[in-house]
Amino acid sequence: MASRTASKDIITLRGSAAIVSEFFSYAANSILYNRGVYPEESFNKVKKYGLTMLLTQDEGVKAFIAGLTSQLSEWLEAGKLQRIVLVIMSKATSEVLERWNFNIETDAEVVEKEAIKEKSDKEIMREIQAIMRQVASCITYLPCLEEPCVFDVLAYTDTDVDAPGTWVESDAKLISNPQMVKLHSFDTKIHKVDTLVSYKKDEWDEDE
Amino acid sequence: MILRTPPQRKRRADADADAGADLAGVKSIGGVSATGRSPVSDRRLVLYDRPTALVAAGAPGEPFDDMVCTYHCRQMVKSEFMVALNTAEKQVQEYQAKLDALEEQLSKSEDERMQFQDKLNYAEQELAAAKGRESALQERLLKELGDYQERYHDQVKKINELEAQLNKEINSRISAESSASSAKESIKDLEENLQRLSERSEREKKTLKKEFSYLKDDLTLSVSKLNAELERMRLRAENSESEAKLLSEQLVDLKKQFDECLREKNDMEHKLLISSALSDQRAPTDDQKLIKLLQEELRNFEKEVHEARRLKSSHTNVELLKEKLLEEQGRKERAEMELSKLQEIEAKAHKLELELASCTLLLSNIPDVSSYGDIPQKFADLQKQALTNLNKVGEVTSRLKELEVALEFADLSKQRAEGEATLAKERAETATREAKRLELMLASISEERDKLRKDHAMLTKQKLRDGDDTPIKNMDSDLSGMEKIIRELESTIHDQKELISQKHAELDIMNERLSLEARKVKSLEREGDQLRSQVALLESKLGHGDYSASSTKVLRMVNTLAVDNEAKQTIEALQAELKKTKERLQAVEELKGQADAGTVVDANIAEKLAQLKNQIATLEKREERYKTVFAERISVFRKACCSLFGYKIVMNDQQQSNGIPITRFVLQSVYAQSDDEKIEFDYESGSTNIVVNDYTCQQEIAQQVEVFIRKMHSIPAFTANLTMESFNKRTEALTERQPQLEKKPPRARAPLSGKAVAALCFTSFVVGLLLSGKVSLLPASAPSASRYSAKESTRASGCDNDQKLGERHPTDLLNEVSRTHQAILSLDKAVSTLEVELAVERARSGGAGTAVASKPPQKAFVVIGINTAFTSRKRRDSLRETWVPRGGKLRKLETEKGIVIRFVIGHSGTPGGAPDRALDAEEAETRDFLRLDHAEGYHELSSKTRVYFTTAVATWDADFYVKVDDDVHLNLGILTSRLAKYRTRPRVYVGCMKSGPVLSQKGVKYHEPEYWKFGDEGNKYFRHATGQIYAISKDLAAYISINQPILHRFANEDVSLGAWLIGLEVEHVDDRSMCCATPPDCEWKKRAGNVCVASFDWSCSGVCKSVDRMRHIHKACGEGEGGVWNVAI
Repeated sequence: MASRTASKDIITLRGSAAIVSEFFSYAANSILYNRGVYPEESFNKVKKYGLTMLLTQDEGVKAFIAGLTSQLSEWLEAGKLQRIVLVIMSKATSEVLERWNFNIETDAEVVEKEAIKEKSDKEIMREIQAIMRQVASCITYLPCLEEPCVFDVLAYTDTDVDAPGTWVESDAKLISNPQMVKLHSFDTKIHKVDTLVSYKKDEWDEDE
Repeated sequence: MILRTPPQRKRRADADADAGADLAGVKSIGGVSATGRSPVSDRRLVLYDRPTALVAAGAPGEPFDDMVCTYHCRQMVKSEFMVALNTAEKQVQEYQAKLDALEEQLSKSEDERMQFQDKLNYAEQELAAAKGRESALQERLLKELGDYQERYHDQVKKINELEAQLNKEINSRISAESSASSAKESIKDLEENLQRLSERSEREKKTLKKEFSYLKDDLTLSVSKLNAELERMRLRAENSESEAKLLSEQLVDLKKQFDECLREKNDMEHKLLISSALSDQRAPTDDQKLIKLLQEELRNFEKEVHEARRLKSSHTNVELLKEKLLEEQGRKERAEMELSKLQEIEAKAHKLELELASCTLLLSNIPDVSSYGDIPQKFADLQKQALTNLNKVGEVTSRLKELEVALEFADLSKQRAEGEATLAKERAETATREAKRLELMLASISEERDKLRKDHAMLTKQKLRDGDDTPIKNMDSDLSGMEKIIRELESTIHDQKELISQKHAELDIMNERLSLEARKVKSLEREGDQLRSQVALLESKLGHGDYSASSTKVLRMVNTLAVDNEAKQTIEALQAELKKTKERLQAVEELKGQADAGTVVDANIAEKLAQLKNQIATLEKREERYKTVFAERISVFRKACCSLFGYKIVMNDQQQSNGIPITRFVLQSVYAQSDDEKIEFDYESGSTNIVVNDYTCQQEIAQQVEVFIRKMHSIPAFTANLTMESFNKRTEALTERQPQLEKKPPRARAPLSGKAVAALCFTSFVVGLLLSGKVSLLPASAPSASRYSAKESTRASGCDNDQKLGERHPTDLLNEVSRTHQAILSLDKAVSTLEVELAVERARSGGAGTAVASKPPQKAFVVIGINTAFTSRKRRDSLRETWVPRGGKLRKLETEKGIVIRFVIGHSGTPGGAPDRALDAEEAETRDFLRLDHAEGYHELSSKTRVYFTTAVATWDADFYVKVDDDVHLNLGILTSRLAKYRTRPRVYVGCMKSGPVLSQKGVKYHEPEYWKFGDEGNKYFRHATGQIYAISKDLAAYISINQPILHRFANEDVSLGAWLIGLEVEHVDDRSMCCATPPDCEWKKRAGNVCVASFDWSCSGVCKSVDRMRHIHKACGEGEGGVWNVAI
C-alpha cells in the first residue's frame, strides 16, 4: 500500500507465494530438461539459486508455465493449494510414467491473520538449491524414458476453489504400484514444500 | 572651448570648500588639508563647479592668493562658500530630520518595549499557565503511573493465574495423553476381545458344526432305527399274515371238520332216523365223543391264536415305541442344551457390544481435551482405529446374526424333532390302541369260543335237533376282522414310510444349509482378505498422491500448447486489429462530429465552451483596447520624456549570441545634428552597458565615455554632458549666423540647466528601466528590428502632439490590464478543465458502452473510496461502526452534503465464485460498495487505483476524489472543510507528502522491481502523498481516467500516483493533519483544537489491529457526531 522501509528477513504471504511459484517454474523447467521431454537445444542457461538453471525457449511451453505460475501464486496466496504434481506421460498411450509431487503445507495462521514470518532469502535459496541438485541427479536412478513424452500439471486444491477458465477437474493420474523416492524439502515458514518423485517400476527390474 | 573633463586638482578645492563650510574659515584649512577630503564633496563637485575649479587650478593652495583674487574669483569663492553653507544647512536639516526620525524610532521602540513587556507578562502568564498545566499533567501522569502499576500488578496476577492455568492445562494435557494412551490400551484390549470373540465365534461355529454332525448322526440313527422298526413291523405283518394264513387254513380245516361234522350229523340223523326206529342209544355216545374232541381242538387253537397275537406283536411293538420315545426325549434335551449355549453366546455378544460402547464412549471422551496439538492427530488415528474396530464389530455382529439364524434353524429342527417325538408318541398311542383292539379282538374271539362252546353245549343239548350255523358265521366275522387289522397295519407301515421320507428330505435341507453356511463363511473370509489388501493398498497410496475427495480436488491446467496456442494468437492478433480499426473508425467519427461543431457528444459542455470562448474573445478585445490606450499613454509619456530630457528613446528586444534576451535602448538627442548621432545601451537584468558604435567611436565622445562611464560609472552624467555639448554645438552653429551676444546666455545658463538635465536624465533612465520591465506585456511596444525604423519615425514625428487620454491615470490602466490578463488566464483554466471534461465525455461515450456511460454522472463534492479486500469484512464492519455512516445516513450525506463514501473492491479471480457471492450478500445488506471491473489480487494495487479513479469519474462528477485504506480512521467533516479550501484551485494533489527510500532488494516489503529507474542506490522516491489517504481534484482524476491505459504502474500504488502527477502542472499540498498517529497523538491534537483529518500507525501502514482499536480511536480522536453535517461546502 505504501512504500516504507522494512527489515531484510521478513517474508510475507505474497513473497512466499512468489518464491514457491517461481521455484515450481524452475523445477518444471529443470525436470523437462533433465527428463528430455523437450529437446536440449530448446533450453537456455540462466543463473538462479546459485546454480546454472535451464529455461525453455519454446514459446508455447513458456506461456504455459507462465500462466501456470500466476495461477499457482494466486492459490498460494489464498492458501488453497495442497499439492502440485507434474505428470510425465507417454505421448502415444497417455500412460503415466512419472509423477513429481510437490506437497505444499500452508501456515493457516499467516493466511488468516496476514502475519509476517522471518526467514532469510539466503536460507530459502540454499534449500531450493539442494532440491534442484537432487532433481538434476534423479536421472541416475529413474528409468529411461524411451518414447516421446508429454507433461501435464495437476493442482490439488481445496474443494471450495472454483476451477478458473484454463483449468478443468481431473483425476489424479496415479501410477499403480509405483516406486517412490523422497527428495529434500524447503520451507519459507509460510509454505513448506515436500518433493517426492514416484515412477513406474521398470519391467526389467521386476523380471530379476 | 571649455574643457569638460574635471582635473585632479579640483578635489582639493572641493575639500577646501567642505572644510570652509565646517569651520567657517577658508584660509586656515585651505593650505593644510590635503587629507581632509571627503568622498561626499568629491561626488558633488563633478556636477556644478567645473569652471571655477578650472580657474582655481591656476593658483593652488595659497590662502593669500584668495586675497589677490579678482572679484570674479571672490564671487566664485563666495558662491562656493554659499554652496557649502547651503550644504551644511541641508546637512543640519538632515541631521535634524534624522534626529526626529531617531526620536520617533525611540518612541516607537518605547512602544515596542511596552509591547514586549506586555508580551513578556503575557508569556510569563502563559508560562505560569503552562506550569500549572504541566503540574496537572504530572499529576495525571502520576495517576496514570499508579494506574499502570495497578494494571501491572493485575497483569502479574493474571500472568500467575495464566501460569497456573498453563500448568493445569499441561496437567490436563498429560492426563489427556494418558487417557489417549489408556484409550489406546483399551483399543488394544478391545482388539484382543475382538480376537477372543472371533476365536469364540470360530469355536462356536465348530461346536455348531459338531452339533450339526451329531444331529446328522442322530437323524441317520433315528432313520436307521425307524427302518429297523419298519422292518420289524413288516416282519410282524408277515407273521400276522402267516398267522392269518394259518388261521384260514385252520378255518378251512374247521370247515372241513364242520362239513364232516355235518356229514356225520347227517349220517347220524340218517342213522338216528334209522336207529330211531331200530336203536337210539348207541350213536349219541359217539357224537359226544366227537364233540369233546372238537372242543379240545378248538381250545388248543384258540390258545395258539391268543399267544401268537399277544406275545409276538403288541408287546414288542410297545417296547420299541417306548425306546423311540426315550431317544427322542434325549434329542430334545440336547437341542435344549444347544439353545442354552446359544443364549450364552448371545449374552457374550451383548457383553462385547457393551464393551464396545464403553470404548466408543472413551473415544468420544477424548475429543474434549483436543486443545493440544498432538492429540487431534492421535485422536484421528484413534478414530480411524475405532472405525476399523467398528467395522470389525459390524462383521462380528453380522456373524452373530448368522449364528442366530443358524440357531433359529436349529430351533426349527428341534421343533421338528419335537413334532417327530409327538408323532412317535402318537404312533405309540396308535400302537397301544392297536394292542387294545387286538385285545378286543381277542376278547371277541374268546367270546366266539364261548359261543362255540355254547354252540357245542347247545349241540350237545340239542344233539339231534339242529346243526351249528352261528359258529361258522362268527368265524367268518372273525376272519373279516382279522383282514381289517391286517389292512390297518399295512396303512401304519405306509405312514411310517412317509415319515422316513420326510426325515430324509429334512436331512437334505439341513445339509444344503450347512453347505450354504460354509460357503458364506468362505466368502466372508475372502472379503476379509480383500479388505486387508485394500487397507494395505490405501496405506501405500497415502504417500504416493492419493487424496480424499471430501477435502481435496484435483485440477488440471488445460494444455493449450501447440495448436491451440497458434489459434489463440491469431485470434488475438485479429482482435487487436479489430480494435485498432474500431479506434480508427471512432476517430473518424469524432472528426465528423467535430465538423458538426461537436454538439453530438455533449451539447451542454460545447455550449459552455462556446460561451466561455465568447467571453474570452470580448475580454481579449477589451485587452486589445486597453493595450492601444496604453500604447497611446506610453507614447505621450515618451514624448514628454523626449521633450523633458532631450532624448528620444527606442527600445528593442534582442538576443545575444548566447541566447540570453536583452533589451537595447537607442538614444538620440533632440539636439543631434545628424541621424547617426545615436547612443546605444544594452540593458540586461539590472545592468546597463553602452554599446560601441560609429558615433561613440568618435574621439571626443569616446573620451567622455571613458571618463563618465568607465571611470565614474555614471551614464546620466554622460548623457547630460552630451546633451549640453550638442546643445552648445547647435547654438554655436546658430550663433555663427546670429549675433555674438547670443553666445553668452547658454554659457551662463549652463550650470543651471546642467543640474536640471542631470536630474531629468536620471529620472528618464529610471522611467526607461520601468518601461523595460513592462515590455513583455506589450508586444506592440516591443517591435522587431525590421519594424523598428517605421515606428521610430512615427514616434519621432509625433513627439510634439497627442494628449487625448490625459484624463486617465496610467497606473489605473496598468492595473486594469493586469486584471483582465488574470481574468483571461483563469478563463483559460476553465476552458482547459472543460476540454478535459469533454474529452472524458467523449471517451466515455466512445468507450465500449459500459453501463455507467448511459446515465449522466451524479454531482458530488467529494467521492471517498475506501480500498478494501474480500477478506476484510471485519475491518469494513469496524468502519461502519465508526466513521462510515450506514444506510439512510449515507444517502443523506450524499444528497445533502455531496459526500459519497464507498468501499472499493473488484471481483475475485473467478467471477461468480464464493467470495463474490459473499460480497453480493454483504452489498445487498449495506449498499455501500463500488464494484470495479478489476480482478482482486491478480495485479498490483496500482491498477486498482487506476480503475477506481476511472470508475469514480464516470460515476460521479465530484470536485475531489479521495482514496483511503480500510484501516485508517478519518474525520469526514475536517476532510471536507480542508478540501473546500482548495476548491477554487486547479489541479490539486492533497496528502501527507513523503519521500521514502527506493527498496531495490527483492523479497522485502515495498520492494521496487524498477528501482533502476530511480537512479543510484540509496536514492529516495520523488515526493508523493502517502498511500493511506490522499485526495486529487477532478481534473487530475479525469486525466488519470483518460490516460489510464498508458499510465505506468509501479509496484507501490502511492508511488505510481505520485509518478503520474509529478510531471504535470500540479499543486502538491502537504497536509500533515492527514497523517496523525493514533491516540494519544491525535487525542492531544484534538484537545489543542487541531482535529486530525486521518489517523493511523506508520508502523502498520494503517491502524494496527484496526478491527479491535477503531472504535477506541474514534472515541478519542473523532470530530464528534454532526461534525460532518455542520460543514459548509
